[in-house]
Amino acid sequence: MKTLKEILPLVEKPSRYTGGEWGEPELVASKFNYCICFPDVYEVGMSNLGIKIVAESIRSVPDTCVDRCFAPWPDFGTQLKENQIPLYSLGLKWGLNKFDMIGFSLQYEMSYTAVLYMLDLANIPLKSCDRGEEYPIVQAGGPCVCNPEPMADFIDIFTIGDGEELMAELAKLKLACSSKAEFLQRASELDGVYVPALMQVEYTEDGKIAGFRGKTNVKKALVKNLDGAIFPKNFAVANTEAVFDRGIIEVMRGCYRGCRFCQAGFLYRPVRRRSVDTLTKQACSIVRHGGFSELSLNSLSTGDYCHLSELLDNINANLPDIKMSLPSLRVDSFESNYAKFARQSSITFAPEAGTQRLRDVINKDITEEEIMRGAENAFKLGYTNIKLYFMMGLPTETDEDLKGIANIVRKIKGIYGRIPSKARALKVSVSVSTFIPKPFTPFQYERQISEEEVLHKLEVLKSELFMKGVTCSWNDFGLSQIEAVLARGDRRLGAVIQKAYESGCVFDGWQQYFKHDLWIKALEDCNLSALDYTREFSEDEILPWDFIDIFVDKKFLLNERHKAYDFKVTGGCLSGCKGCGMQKVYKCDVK
Amino acid sequence: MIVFKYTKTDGAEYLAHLDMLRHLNKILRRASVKTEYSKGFNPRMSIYMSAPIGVGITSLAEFCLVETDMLPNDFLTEFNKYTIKGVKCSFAISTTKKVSVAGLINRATYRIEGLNKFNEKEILKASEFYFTNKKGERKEVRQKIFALSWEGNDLIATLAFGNDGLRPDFFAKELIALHGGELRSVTKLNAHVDEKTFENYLCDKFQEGQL
Repeated sequence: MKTLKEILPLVEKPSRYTGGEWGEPELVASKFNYCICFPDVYEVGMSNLGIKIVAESIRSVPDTCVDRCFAPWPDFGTQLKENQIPLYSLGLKWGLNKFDMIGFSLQYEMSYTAVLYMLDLANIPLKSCDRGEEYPIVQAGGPCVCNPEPMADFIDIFTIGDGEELMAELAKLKLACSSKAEFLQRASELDGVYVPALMQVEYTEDGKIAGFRGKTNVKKALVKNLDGAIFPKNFAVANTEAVFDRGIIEVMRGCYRGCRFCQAGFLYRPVRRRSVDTLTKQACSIVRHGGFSELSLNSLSTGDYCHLSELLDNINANLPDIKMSLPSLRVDSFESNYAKFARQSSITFAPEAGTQRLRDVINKDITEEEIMRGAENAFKLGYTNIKLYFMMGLPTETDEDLKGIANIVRKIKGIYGRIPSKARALKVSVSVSTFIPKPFTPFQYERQISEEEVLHKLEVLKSELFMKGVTCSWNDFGLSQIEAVLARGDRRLGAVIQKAYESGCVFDGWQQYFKHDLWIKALEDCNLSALDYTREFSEDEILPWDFIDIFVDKKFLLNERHKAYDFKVTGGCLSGCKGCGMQKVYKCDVK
Repeated sequence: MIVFKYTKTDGAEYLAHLDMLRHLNKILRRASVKTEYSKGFNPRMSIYMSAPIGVGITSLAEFCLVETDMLPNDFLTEFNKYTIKGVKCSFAISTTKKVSVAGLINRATYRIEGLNKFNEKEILKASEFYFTNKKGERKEVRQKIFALSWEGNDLIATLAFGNDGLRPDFFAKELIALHGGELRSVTKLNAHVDEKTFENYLCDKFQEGQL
């Protein structure tokens, strides 16, 4: 048997597993010890803002200690297993099974098997029903838990919605409870909490959901005052280069737009903004403490922040040598004065669809003229690389829509050709992903296209996009298919996920580790098929996530779906309230 | 400009060279050390590190040059206030010339723990010594071994360092293959320019007015 010190030199990037990062407090065990578990590799997890918010929230409660753990890369995981070292946290260096509660952040459906991998490496039984008082409570949060059912067998308690206040409430409650059962029962009364053991699902003979019994109305947790909400003052600096090696501030939560395919756009409603003053203070604190040279102004659509120019000027005045990045900048909100702060050579736009007709179907409220204006502005500023994101397989899509993608590319190349004194040739990267119908969107009922359809569409795209200086990339059909299955799945998928994990599926989000055939076999072994979940759902059937209330009316979603098929644009909140249902619980500040 | 010496211990030995460069950047930014930047589209901080050592090798003698007007003592104090665990500055000296820390350092002394004892003089007496490099090739490296001695059960070895250097962990593996043992740790104790430690080399040059 080898010791940890002997193992570390044998694995890739050992600093992933040593802890002791700048900015992480020295930990001392307390009455309530919680470990954040991120089911992906260290570099990805250390870039995540959500887990930092959860840590800050729990640390605001006295007598608590918050530690971290990330999924070990297979080389280290194998060494841990072979040498019988339980998966440990980075701060206290405790095995995960020693904590009072461990919480997984589910950012992406393809990380589900990594949850099982981490539990397994920590010698914690995978299923909730097999874990007694001696094991930690297993919690999960993050955007994927808006449909928690596929993971219901493994998780004791889901936290749905904003974590700033809820996680502190749970910590206080856990300190006050004497048993796991008492805690779960009392926690289930809180908004934002779902305890799978307290709800049962009934199925019809054809495998559809007949109904829910038990605690069936779960409301998402909502932080109404984002400006006053807790936010991490300091960011730990990752030992090895994080995916996003920069400070992050969250400018807004929610999005004013109503793109009909976008889950985040509905899930994070209503739009809540932070003030320029708060954001400037947060930016200065994070950048100075971390020593970052780059700051990211995050939100779903930062260009829609009404005080963006003032904010950029303020940050620039306080932190003059900082490079600012504005991800998720919509093409119609791209202005030259935003780009001048970025000092980048590449700009990304997401028209999503190639023709105006299809952009109207998905309620992507931008015109071709706006796309061209955005590109022209970028080129005038010296941008020489442009990335364009599109989707294929959207409802009502035809070959003409795919050819429209090539038309956009041709026009963009034409605009670049007219720009005088160019530094270098234009590079256009077109990225096309397969549409995945997601819960809580107007397209939640849609079917996902088949492999044959994907292959045909790719042929059309490849022939149309065969141009100098243009590269086209797309994602694997199998990966999109399994993501759709897990996103729209029900409780029966628990057995499938376990089978897939036991047959060798882990790190499914990493192309080199994704094993489509093993997933299909796991589905078959459980008498299910991918089509059970990628088919079109009828409008009157009960959906696996229908017991969760995110405050957006199902009627609104249905109406939006109907409008999509009528090629009608609804627009976003900024052009007037569209009555999505959110107004019943929150006073939105748009007319 | 300042040349400074720092450690890589207490977990920092697992930081790869480029990660260490990123950390040095951040430490200097946190410490508000005003440094020069490159003049390109994406300006980079002007810092120059000594040649990389293998991940997992503890070091007491890493060197770096940074283009700044700060006084060495102030630099040392501020650096240590904002540094990460295991990286500590122990020496800093001003220079008006750009000292090539990577080019000048050509030897390093290591403490190797976990080897079975053998007669080190035989290696020094021999005209050849073969070892297996990273690519699995057998190479003759006798001219890259400058000194070997025992300090208790630890071997103290001075080996060639830099682009054409001899990796101490691979050297230790070869010794284990020959004489047995189980490698526990390798620590870089010092860096040299020929016979002189790099620290002494810098101090001498400073006194001679050549820095």
